[in-house]
Amino acid sequence: MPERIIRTKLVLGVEMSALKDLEAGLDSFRQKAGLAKRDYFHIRLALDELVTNSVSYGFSSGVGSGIMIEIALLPDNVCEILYSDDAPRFDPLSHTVAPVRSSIEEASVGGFGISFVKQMMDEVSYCYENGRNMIKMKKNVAAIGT
Amino acid sequence: MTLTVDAYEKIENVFVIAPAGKIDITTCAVLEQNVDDILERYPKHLIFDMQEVSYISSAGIRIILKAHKAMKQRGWKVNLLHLQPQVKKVFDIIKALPKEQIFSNIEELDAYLDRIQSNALK
Repeated sequence: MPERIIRTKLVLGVEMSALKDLEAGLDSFRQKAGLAKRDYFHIRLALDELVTNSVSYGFSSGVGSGIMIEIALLPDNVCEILYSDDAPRFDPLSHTVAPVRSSIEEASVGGFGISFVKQMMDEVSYCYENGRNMIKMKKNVAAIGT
Repeated sequence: MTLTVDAYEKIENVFVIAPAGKIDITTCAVLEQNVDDILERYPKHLIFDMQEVSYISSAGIRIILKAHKAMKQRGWKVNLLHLQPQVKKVFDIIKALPKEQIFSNIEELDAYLDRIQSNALK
C-alpha cells in the first residue's frame, strides 16, 4: 500500500499520435506507482479507447486543442483518473454498446470501445464543466508488490 | 507502437495470421489488410496466432470479429491460438468468441484440425 498519493498528469494532442504519448506516460506512471501488470493493462485499455474516441470523433470537426489526463494512486489502493478534452460536448457513456457478441459485430468502433471502459473501471461518470468533457473513473487496484 | 503481421497457408485451406506487437487504431490497418487478403482466398479455417501480441484494443478485436463474421457466413470458423493472459482477458470479458474456438497451444489446435479433417472424410 503506498504511503502517499502518487500522481501524474498527461497532456495529449488532437492527433492519433496521442496514443503513443499515452503509452509512454502511463508506462512511467506504472513504474512510479508499482502497478500490477493486470491493472496497468486495464487502465491503459480504458484510456486508449477514450483517446481513440476523442481523436476520431471529438476533434474531427476541427474544434478543440487536446486531452488532459490526471491519474492518482491513493493510499487505499484506489486509482482515480480524470480524463478531459475540449472537443464539442459529447457524453460517450450514453452511446455504449452492450458487450455481447452479436452487437459487437455490428457496433460502431466508438460504442464498442466505451463498453471496455465500463468493464475495466469500477466507477465511470461523465460531466461537462468549463467547456470540457470530463470522465471521472475509479479503479480498485492490487496492492503494490502483489 | 509497431505491428508486423505474418500470414501463411499452414495446410491446404487452413491459413494462419500471426500478428506481432501491439494492436490499436494506429496499427490495425496492417492486420486488416492481411485479413482481407486471406479472406479473398476463401479459407476453410482462419487461425489467429496471438503468441506475440502483447496488447489489443477494440480496434483490433473488431478486425478479428469481422473475420469471424465473414467466415461464419461461409459456414467456416475463426480460431484463436496462444492468447496472452491480458489479451485473453479482453476476449473473455466481451465473450468475443466461443471457448471452443480458442486454443492455448498448437497441439490442441492440430488435434482439432485433425478431427475436422477426419469428419470431412467420413
